Amino acid sequence: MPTHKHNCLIPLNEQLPADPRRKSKLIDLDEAGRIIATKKIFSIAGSHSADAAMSLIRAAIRAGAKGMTLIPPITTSLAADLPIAAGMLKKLYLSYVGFEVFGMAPAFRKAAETQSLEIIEADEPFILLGTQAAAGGKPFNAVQYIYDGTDHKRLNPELKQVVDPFTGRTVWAIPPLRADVFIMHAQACDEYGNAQCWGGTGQERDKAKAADMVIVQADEIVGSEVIQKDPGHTTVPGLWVDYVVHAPYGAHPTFSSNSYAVDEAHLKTYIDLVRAGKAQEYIDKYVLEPKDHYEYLERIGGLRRLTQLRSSIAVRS
Amino acid sequence: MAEPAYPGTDTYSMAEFMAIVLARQAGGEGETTGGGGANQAVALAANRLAQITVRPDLWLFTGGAGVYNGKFDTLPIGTWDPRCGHGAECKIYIADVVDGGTRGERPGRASGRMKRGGSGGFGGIQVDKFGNINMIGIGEHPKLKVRGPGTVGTIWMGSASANVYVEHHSKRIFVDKCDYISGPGWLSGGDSRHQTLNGRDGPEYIWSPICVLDFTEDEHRARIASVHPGYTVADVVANTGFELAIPKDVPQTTPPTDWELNVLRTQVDRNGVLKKRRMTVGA
Repeated sequence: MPTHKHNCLIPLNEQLPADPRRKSKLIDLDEAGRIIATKKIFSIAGSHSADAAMSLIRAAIRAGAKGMTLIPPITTSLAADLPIAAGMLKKLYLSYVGFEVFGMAPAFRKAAETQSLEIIEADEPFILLGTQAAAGGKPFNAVQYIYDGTDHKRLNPELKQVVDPFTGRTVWAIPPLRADVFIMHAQACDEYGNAQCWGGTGQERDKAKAADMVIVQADEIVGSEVIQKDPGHTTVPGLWVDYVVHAPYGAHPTFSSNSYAVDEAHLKTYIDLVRAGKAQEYIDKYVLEPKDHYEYLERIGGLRRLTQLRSSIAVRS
Repeated sequence: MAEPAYPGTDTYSMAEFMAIVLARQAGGEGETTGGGGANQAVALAANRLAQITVRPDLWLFTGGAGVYNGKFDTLPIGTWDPRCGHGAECKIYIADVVDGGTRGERPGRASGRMKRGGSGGFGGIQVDKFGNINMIGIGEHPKLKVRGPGTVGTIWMGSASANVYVEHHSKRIFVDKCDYISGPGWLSGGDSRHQTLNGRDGPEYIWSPICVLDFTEDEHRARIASVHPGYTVADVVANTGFELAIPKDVPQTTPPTDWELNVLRTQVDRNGVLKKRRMTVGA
């Protein structure tokens, strides 16, 4: 029986009985970055400053991704702002990009105000229902009067009116939001792509179905027996997943639900640098220069900082 | 210059006071849902406080974190903070929220779908005299002078009668007419909202760090309901960019009791987030 080889910190063949006849989807982070960089439209999940696929985003920037369209989750922060700062995005479907208590998203704001980024004035129902339309291969998703009360109807050119053939009413049509690749963060995943998210708002399943390719980054690569213990917690079945990347603390500096806390100090560093016009300094230090993911983790403070973030998920001081 | 909102005493902060005011006014009968925006630590604290004190049937909805009825006693950073999930009862799927919003609230059945009758509400970079809010921006779209963060789910103000909540009271925020509407209040007043949004009622209150506003019965124009300790009707008028309806007698918002402060500090905000939370008055 040949032994299965992995690019992980702890060789998987020491942890679990991998079935060598079954296809392993593990690839390394840089390869994933190169794959993403060949695509035009990518989508991400997570919620605000939590559960963002930051390692994959950094890898895509390192691989030279340019001119991309982002379909974000309903709310996000750094996962949209860093790609904007790095010049990776051409177009953004906007629902919410901001750093909540830490303030406005600096690169997003600047790009919007200098009009260097095409922004579609989308929102929660537009993103979610558009994604669901693409997931089901539907021509569009329709909603009743809700957009009558807001200005989206004149600001979002992708929102259209159609006549409901059953009632004759005029209703709002939301187009399918398909992605070339969906990249997601999971707390645990096996090498076959069965991904378990321990928090969040459940957008991963719709996003996975609405994309032609799915890449999962996971804090932990677990054995099949871990997934089998609780299949009800498997958020996305491996069948839908193309590639898996082992990225411990890969959501940093955002939160990883039930695993480690948001790195508030690091986010403030980012915001301050970008506001001061020094985005490139941040990108050099934390995206381009680290020779691999582990060097990134050293640069953000290493084991000492990561241990603090792990312990602060319970009580905030 | 904007100045920190100060209740005229060091016994409590304005943010603590606001959480208590919102908790008291957590409205509705029977089961209601209390939510709040991403950056609304005050609304988050208020909902938890309301549950513990006067509204045990309030369902605490922390959408960004994806859970109902978290039992935290130290205050998470916002409703998106996964720490809202400690002791929660149900993990939500955001599509359920969207379904509730597009379907519209069903009167008399508040089974946690879209009934946001609890405390908390939507904020904006502009709020106008009819309680409409703007999260889009200021200036000529798409060349906006000020780019807002995006509108998220503020559209749900149109299908649920959510309230408005802001932490800064200035003429820059309280404007006669929003440049854009992302969350519909009473639209252009009178029966315009009922006409446009299938008869749905608009907001009941606007909570600010210096006052509570409600709306006149016919025009649905903002009216001073009460003024917080440390401030006067003249302060509210001076910092509001539209003409307010002002009743003959405007009461002071009732100061917090020792019991309310004690519950807030020992069961909701043990880490004292609200003591430090900055709210401001003036441009």
